[in-house]
Amino acid sequence: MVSETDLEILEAYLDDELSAGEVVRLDQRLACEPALAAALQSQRSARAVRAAVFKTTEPDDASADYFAGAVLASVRRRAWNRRLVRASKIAGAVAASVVVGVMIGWVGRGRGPEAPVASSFPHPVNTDGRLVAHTPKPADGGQTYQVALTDENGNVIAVQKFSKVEDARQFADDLGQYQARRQQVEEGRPMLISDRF
Amino acid sequence: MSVEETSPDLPVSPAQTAALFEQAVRVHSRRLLAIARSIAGNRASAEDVVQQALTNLYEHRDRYDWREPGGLMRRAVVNEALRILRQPRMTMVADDHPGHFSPPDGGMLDRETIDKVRAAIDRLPEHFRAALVLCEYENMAYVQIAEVLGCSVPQVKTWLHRGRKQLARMLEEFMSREK
Repeated sequence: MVSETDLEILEAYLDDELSAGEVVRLDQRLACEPALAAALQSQRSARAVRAAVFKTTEPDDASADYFAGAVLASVRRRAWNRRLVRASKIAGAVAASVVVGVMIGWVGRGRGPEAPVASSFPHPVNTDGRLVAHTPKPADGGQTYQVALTDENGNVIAVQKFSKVEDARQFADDLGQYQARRQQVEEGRPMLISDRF
Repeated sequence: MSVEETSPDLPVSPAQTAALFEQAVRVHSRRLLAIARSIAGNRASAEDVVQQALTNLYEHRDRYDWREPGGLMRRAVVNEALRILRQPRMTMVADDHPGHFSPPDGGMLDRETIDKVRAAIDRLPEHFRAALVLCEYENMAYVQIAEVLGCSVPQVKTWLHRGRKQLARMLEEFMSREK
């Protein structure tokens, strides 16, 4: 009777997994142990049958070639499809961005940034309509003087403060002269360009 | 990192990789189909197993060295076959693939013997069967089998020994009758 260990050694021998020393020792044992030699022969036969069975699972050359061609066509097709999907995604993203941009522009049309209603020193050029500088009035208990600027409808759109009443009057006079010249230009009347000289 | 994965400085262009992949598929398909057939048995079509394994490799083809693709492709096919075997049993494919697999070889074995042995091999646990196919059909060393199956060399020895023992037991009566 051959032990399990010896059977494993015989398998390793047939699998070519024994070292040179182990092979020598096994050959010596095989020469003088008929049961071990018979077990080796039995294993060899079983292995030959299995090898023949494994061989039958191989396809013939034509089938193998056909299969290889089909696999290569399949992987090429998949690669092409993947490129197509990637390109579609990019095109879709661009189209979506354009649509969103157009929609934002459409919804927000005519809503530009509004002009400042009043500033600390409103320049007449930056305002629409006529500005009228009113007579300076004392404010803060007589410490400062302020000039109210109103539009054509009389709405106060800015107030300019001065520490001296002379400065306030000068500002009101300058603004009045500016408005008068602007009105002349708009109405096409001739004006003296060098009126300051 | 396995020996077949590419190093970053590998001078292979994408076009060369594609050409090497194509050549590898043409050269190794025959044996890959046999491996898949032997491991997956009638649980899955060998063509499906190999095609899926090769498609997976193609997806990541830039990672591998296609100048020595044999081991890489074998490993991919074995892993794919084992993956399918681990899935719940859904369908069985026909044992014979008309026109695809060759008939018994040159009259060495009769059809009944082949069917019996093949059925016995199919009944082995999947890892026993995979180890047996890689060892006896692919003539791979234990170390290589361990690498492919992701286990230790002693584990491979154990699987092979138990697989052969189970086969001998399953075929004992049939073989003694044949003698």
